[in-house]
Parts: sequence; C-alpha cells; structure tokens
Amino acid sequence: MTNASARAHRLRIATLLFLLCLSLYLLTYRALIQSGDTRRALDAVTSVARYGDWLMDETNALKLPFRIRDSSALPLGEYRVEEGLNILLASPLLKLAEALPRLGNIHTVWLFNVIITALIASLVYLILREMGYADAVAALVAVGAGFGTNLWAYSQTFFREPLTAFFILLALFALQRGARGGIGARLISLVCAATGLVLAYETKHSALFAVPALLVFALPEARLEGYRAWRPAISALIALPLLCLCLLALLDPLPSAIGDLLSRFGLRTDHLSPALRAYLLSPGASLWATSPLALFAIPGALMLWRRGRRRLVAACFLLVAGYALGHALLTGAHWFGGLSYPPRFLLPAQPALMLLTAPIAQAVLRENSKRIRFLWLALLAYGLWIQVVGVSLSLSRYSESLPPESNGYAEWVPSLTQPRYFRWIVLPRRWGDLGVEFLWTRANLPIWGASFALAFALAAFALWHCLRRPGSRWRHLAPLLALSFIPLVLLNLMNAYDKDPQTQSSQGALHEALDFLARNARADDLLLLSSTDYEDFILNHLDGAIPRPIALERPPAQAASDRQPALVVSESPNDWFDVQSFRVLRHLAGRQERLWLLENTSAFMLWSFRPLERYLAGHFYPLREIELGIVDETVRLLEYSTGEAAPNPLSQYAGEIATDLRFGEGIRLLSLVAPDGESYAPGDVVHISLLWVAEAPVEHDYTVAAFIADARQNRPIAQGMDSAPQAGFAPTSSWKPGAPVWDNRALRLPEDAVAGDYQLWLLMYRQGSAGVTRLPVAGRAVIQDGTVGVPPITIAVR
Amino acid sequence: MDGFDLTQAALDALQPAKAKATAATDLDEARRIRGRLLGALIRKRRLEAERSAAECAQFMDAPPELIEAWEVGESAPSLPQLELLSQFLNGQGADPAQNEGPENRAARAEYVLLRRRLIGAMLRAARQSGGKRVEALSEAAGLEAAALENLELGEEALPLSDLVALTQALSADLNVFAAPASHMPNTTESDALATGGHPRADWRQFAAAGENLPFIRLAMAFQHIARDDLHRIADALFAIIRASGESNGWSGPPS
Repeated sequence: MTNASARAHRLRIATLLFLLCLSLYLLTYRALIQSGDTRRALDAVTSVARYGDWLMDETNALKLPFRIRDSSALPLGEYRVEEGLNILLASPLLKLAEALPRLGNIHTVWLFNVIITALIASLVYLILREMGYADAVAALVAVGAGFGTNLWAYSQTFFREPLTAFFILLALFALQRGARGGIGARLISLVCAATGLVLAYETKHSALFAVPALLVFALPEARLEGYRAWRPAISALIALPLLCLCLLALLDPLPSAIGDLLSRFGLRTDHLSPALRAYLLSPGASLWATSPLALFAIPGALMLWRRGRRRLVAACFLLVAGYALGHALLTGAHWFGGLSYPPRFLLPAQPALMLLTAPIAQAVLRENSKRIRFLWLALLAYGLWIQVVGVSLSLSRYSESLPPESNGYAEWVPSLTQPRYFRWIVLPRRWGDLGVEFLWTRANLPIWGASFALAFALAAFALWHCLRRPGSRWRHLAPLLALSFIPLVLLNLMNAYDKDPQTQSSQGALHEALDFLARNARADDLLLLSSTDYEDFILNHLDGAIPRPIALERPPAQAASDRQPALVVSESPNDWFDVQSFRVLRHLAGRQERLWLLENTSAFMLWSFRPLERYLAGHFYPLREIELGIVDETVRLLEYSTGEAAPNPLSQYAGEIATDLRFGEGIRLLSLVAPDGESYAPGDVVHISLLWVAEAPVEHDYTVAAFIADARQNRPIAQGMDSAPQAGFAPTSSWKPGAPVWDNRALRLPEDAVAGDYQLWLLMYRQGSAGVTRLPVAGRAVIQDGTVGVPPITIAVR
Repeated sequence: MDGFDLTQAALDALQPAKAKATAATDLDEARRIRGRLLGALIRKRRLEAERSAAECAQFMDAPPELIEAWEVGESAPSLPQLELLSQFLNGQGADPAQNEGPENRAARAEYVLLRRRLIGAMLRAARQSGGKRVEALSEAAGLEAAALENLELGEEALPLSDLVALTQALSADLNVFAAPASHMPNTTESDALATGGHPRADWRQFAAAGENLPFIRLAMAFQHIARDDLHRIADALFAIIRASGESNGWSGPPS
C-alpha cells in the first residue's frame, strides 16, 4: 500500500468510526435539557449567535443577577465568557437552526456533543495508529471508547467535558505525530499541542490539570527510553502521586497537619477523601464503575511499562491523577458535578485512559485468547448496559428515584457504594412508567429510529469490510454514508420539530404568538415570560426575528397550578414579587418604550393571581391583548406601553384634569391624566389614566371603552383595549364607595391619522343576555344620546 | 394618642343640627361663628398636643400666620387640611423622617388635592340627588355659582365653614364627607414600590424586632466578605451539616 492510499485508508476507517458512533448516538438521541448548567449554556449560545453578547435572558429566572447597574441596558447576568469556547463553537449550529425552517434550537445544538464524542472515538483510533498499533486494534479500542465508556452518556448532554477531552486528545495526537519526526515536525507538533491545551483551557479552566501529563508526553520517547537515568525519575513520577492519592483517599478525616499545609496554599480539603474515593475507587461512581472497559487500562499499563512505553503510561496516569486531585482540592462542596453520569469531572481523562487498553485489545484479537476475549466482551456488555441505561432517561430521573433520605442528592453516599442504588440498577425500574426518553420515542418518530439503525448497520458493515480488506469494494460506502448523513440528520430533525412534547412543540397557540411577534415586533422589543413554564418552548423555537425573551421567576404571589397555593397571598404589590425579579421588571419597564408579555394563565383560571399583569396594568399602560387564531387560555400575548410610568395607584395623587362626568347612578370620573394639547404623530401611543370613584356600591361589572375621536366627523379613529378598569383587575362590582381607583389605558393612533385636534371619548357598558347596555353619562360634555362622555382634553395630531 | 380627635370633634361641633351657631339666619355671621368655634378647637388640640403654631405650619407647608388665622377664626381650613392637621397633632408627624423633605410635603399636598376632589364629587352627588341646581344651592349657601362649580370639581379649597353651609342647605350629614382611612391609598406601600426598596411585610416585621438586629448585622457583614472567604465559610457549614447528617448518608449539596 502506498503512503497516499494508507493515509486514505486510515481516514476512511476514522470516518467510518465517526459515522458508526454518530449513528449510535443519534439512535439514542435525547435532545433534553437536563441541568441548569446546560440550560444556561444553551441560553449563552442563543445570545452569542443572535445578539453577540453573553447575557442570560431566556434563563434569567434560573439565576437572577446579583446586582443590577442603572447603566446596564438589560438587567441580566452574564455567562462565564472566559470558559465559553463550547458556546462559540456551538453557535454555528444555532445559526443553522435559525437559517433552515423547522429546526428546533435544542434539537440542533444538542448535536454538538454527539459530533464531538464521535470525533473522540476517531481520534483514539488515529492516535493508536500513530503509535503503531494495527488497524483492527486501534478500531477496537476506539469502539470500546465510543460504546463502552461514559463518553456515550455525555454525548447526550451539553456539558463542556467532551470538548475538553477532545482538545486534550488532540494535543496528545499532535505530540504523538511529532514524536517520531525531525526537529521541525516536533516543533510544529508542540505548537499544535499547545494550541489544543489552550483550546481545552478556554473550554474549561480545569484543563490545566492536564499540563503535567502533556509535558511528560511531550518528552522525546526514544531519548526517554534510551537513557537509563530517566527511568527512576519516570517511576517516581508515578509512584509518588500514586502514594499520595492512596493516602489522601484512605485518610478520612485527613490529619490536621496535612489539612493545614494544603489550606495554606488555598486548597480545600473538606471533601478531599470522599471525592478521591468516589472518583477512583467507588463501585458506583468511579472511572471504572461507569466505564468498566477502562479497567483494562491497569493490565494494559503494566504491559506497556514492561515494553518500555513508559511515556504514555506516565502521561495517562498523571492525567487521571491531575484531574482527580485537582477537582477534589479545588471544587470543594461541588466535587461531584451535580446531575451527571459520574465521574463527570474526570471525563476529559477517560479517552486517554482507553489508550492504555490497546495491549489488551491486541490480545483479544489474537487467535488463541479465548479467556481474554470473553472477559473483554463481558466488560463491553456490562459497559454497554451502563451506557444504555445512562442515555435512556434524563439524568434528573435518578435523583427523583432515590429514597427520600437521599434528599435528592446525586452524590448520596449509598448511591456510590451500595449496588441497589447504582444508577444502572435504579433507572431501569423507571422504564415501566417513563419508557425511554429518546427523541424519536417520545415524539413517536419510528422513521428516526429506523434510519439511524440502518445507518449504524451500514457503517458497521463497511467498517468490518474495510478492516478485513483495505481494498474492499465496500470502502466506497464511507464517503457515500458521510454525504448522506447531513440530509438524513436534517430531515429527521425537521420531522421532529413540532412533535416533541418536551418542548411544548404541539401547542399551536405558542407558535401563533411567535409568528405574530415575528411579523409585528420591532428589533429592540423585549418579550417577558411570566414564568419558566414555556422556557423550553422558547429555547427550542425562538429565532432572531422575535423580540429578545426575558424569563421572569414565577412571583411568590402566583400559584403554579390550582392544586398548589401561592407562597404569598397579599394585596400589597410589595409582596407579590421576589426582590430581584421586581428590580429586573422595573429596570426593563423604565427603559423600554413597550414590552410584550407571554402570560400562561388568564382570568378564567380563578386561582391565578397574575401579579405581573396586575403590576404592569397598574403602573404602566396596557395597549392590547393579541387575538390568536387558536384560543388557548394558557397562551396569551399582551402588549404594554411603558414609555412613561402611570400615576402610582397607591399614591394619593388626584390627577391633573378634573371632570364632572358621571356614569350611571354612581360612578364618577373624578379626574384624569391625559395629554391635553400635546402633539402626536400618526402611529404614536396616547396614554390616558382615569381616576374613578364610586358613590355607592356598584352592582354590576362594567367594561370601559376609550376612543380617540374626530369631533367634526363624529367618529372614532382609534380604540383602546375594552376592559374592566385596571385591565380587568379592578372590576366595578369590587369598588368601595368613596375609594379612588386608577385605570390606565393606551390608544395607538392610526398610521394614516389626519392632522387635527381630536377628542377622547369614554363609555361604560355591560354585556348581558339582552346584549350590550351602555351606562348613561351625565356631565357638561356628553354626546351620542348621553352614553359617551367627553373629558375636557384635546389630542393634537400633527 | 392623647387627647381628642380634632376632625371628629370639629365635625360633631359643626353639625348643622347640633350647633346653634349654624342656625343663624345671617350666613356671614354663621360662617364667622363656625370659624371661631373651629379655631378654638384647633388651638385647644394644638396646646394639648404640645405643638407650636410654627411646627403645625411647617407640617402643613403653610405660613405660621395661617394657623394663627385659623385659631382666631379669621379663616377656616378645608376638611382635608383639618384631617392632615389632626393626623399631625395625633402624633403622626413625630418622626422627622416621615415629616420633613420635599417628597413628604408633596405627598401631603397630593392628599389634600385628592380629598378635595373626592369631597367635591360627593358634594355634587348630594346636590344632584337632592334635585338642586348649582344656582339654587350657591344662593342658599351664600356662594357664587361659578365658585361652587369649581368647588365641586375640587379645583379650589372648600373651607369647612362653607362645607357646613352647603350641607345645611342640602340637609346632608357632614360626617359622610370625612375620609374613611381604609378607602385612601396606602402611601407606605407606594413609597416602597417607587424607590424599588421593596421591603416585604414579613421583612419589615423582622427588621423592626429589636432581637433580630444581630442577624441584620450578620447579613451586612456577609455583604463585604470576599468570595473565597464565603466559600470557606460555606465549606465549614457543609462540613458541620455533613457530620450531623452522615447517619442518613448526606454528603453535600448539588452544584
């Protein structure tokens, strides 16, 4: 085989391994947001791709900003930019989702780790080939890494660890390539490796834990093996940390002298021993527990040591030790990594560890190695089971399934040590009631499952033939498969767009609301979400044409449902909101000309207090509620004019212009705040605040209608939103006699309004079985048979 | 509160049916007698509350001469002004923080104007329900018709003595014009919202309790602690919790 054809063959095998893993990961594709971290990461992707900033808008409710500066345009927290490489690299996927129709954002961005993890498997193959292993051996290790370790489980997340692992592996690959070349090649490889390390660091700063390993791997192998003087040093490099690791893992509590020494360097020892035990030894959460094939790294390392390949052994060992010690000493109480398939923090070391299993894979492929082959297959089967369980359900399901004494903590000690609480034992019990949570199963898309099962079979078939005979005619399948994968993935994603129940995709009214906003909103508009109930829908379906969404925490005064009472029951607006949410709201309303509100409850849900709507109606100007084609009381889109604040309804302000208008037998319009004599342009919004007072109890609920009217032609040119006072929150039947009630209304002048002076017309009516009954109006200026009151103001359009 | 409530005492004393002075046929004389009666009550209450005319004037954002003029019956306060003065003499103005400053003065001015509008509207309602025209009522009360229209809109202050004359002419109960406290907006809530300070009711209670002062000091101290030190404190707390919770296998919080 010529060099060129050997390179082509190697590339073909790497491609087929990539496609094999890709199709397997897509067969089990979950596209589920499972943790707050990944939710915020997706939010950062949308912010970077759409607006070029790192603001947490869609997930604002998850972690409200600690301090809000008056100078900030938007009162939002920021994602950690300094560890945001995965965000930048994933943003093209979001742009793709926005550029093509019917691609969900979550569905598309979650492909990121699927691709990265499949690339890791290919890279493992390429490194081993560089090390001189045979095709079959390298491919077997790569398949083991891709299928039998928790890399598979992490392919279904949006955590940063797979990308860090990829870059570290890339650095190892660069060093390995340069190891046998001349000085030039070695320098280039060093630069590439340093770049890989920097990229890993930019993804997650903990990549610095890999520096010792990469330094050792950068040493020239031949010289290292040639000089006997190096050997004790290399041995010490392994023995000393090993001793330290054992001591630290087993000493609990840590002797105070060691603790004091470590804390002098700012290291945190409180969780050191439990973390090291969990990472390295526990049967339920260690490197070996969730990736049993990695156990072969121990005999593999011994074999490599004996063969003199100590550089790799030392590097891999330092990598694991660095990550384990680093996280145990620096992450303190957060050593476990939250919701994850453990050990999440050691995942970047996992692929390198698999490199050490190559000698065992060599033995497996020998003709006369039945026992090792059986053992390898057994551990692979066990590993497959663990990974299948890991990808079958959302990570949060495990915490939900633990007994109450666990308090829902994933790092509950028995879950690390007692087999009955292991993840792969607990989670399958939930399959009965939850099924599996693959995208194609929950969205009922058998064609998805069938297409990627077929792709998997074809990739496996082609790989098998290419490994057996490099010149096999089936080798042409590799580029064909690679090319067909792109449309295959896109078509399946488009098919899943409106079928995923997890993202409320089938709720037509939500799509209608977004369509309306896309047609009518301005670029600088904002969309408030009254709670996080539609956060997944917004994250999945929004695009740049729609106003920037800002999710607000569900206010304590708002019940989550009719079965859950609100945390706070109060008439005082001060008690309705969480402090920070309230500040966010005030900040936004104080700076925006208008705000859109996506509200998920309505007046028909009697249990719903709707504090956000109440506040906006009471302190700003409700402009309109959009009539959506699909009537859904859980999807309401409202527009508020917030260019200026209305009179504070809790103040004792008396209004600007007194009136003598009296509606019916006992409702007086005491005064109003209105733009008397101010000039407006067509399309402008006119703000009116009415101060009502009842002289006696009012029996019925009346609706107020406000118009801007042309007196000469005796016809209205603009109408506000008809509603009971305060956007329905102060119905007339609830008024106390003598107690003033503010009622804010906004009216938008038509774009074709002719210049001139206009009047404000007000009327009150009641919709009854006999139709609409208007209340008679008494006062100085009354028109239309005494049913329309005309306050003494003039609205000028110029 | 020590002493009588000035507003209620004034309304009781000036009720047309109770006060002989109001029965006088000469409207001007009747107005003068009512003014003196009211002035005597104001002075008595002020002395009882141990407040000077200057203090009252400062609270009312008026010259001290006006208070003196009220006390000698040369002029009469409007009902909202009397309510405000009554609040002050009842001790509401004892705290300078609630008393001084332009915001507080503006709030009091708003109160007076809002009450004026409400009283005007009630007066118009009483006139209309009695079937009286503006001209007839103004003549009966000794006022100009145009002035009465303005008073009904709350555009001008209505001296209490004139209000008595009007209620007498309408055969109405003077007490209905007094403000029920529950119907007036709660300015305390308003201030909190306006400043964004947002102290919830339970927080206010907590802060008001003297025994909670150490907790407030602790919270203030936390505000200035560096992030790393906060981490150490948190770790130490987790260690304590872990030590006490290991019996049920608890090992730490989720991240």
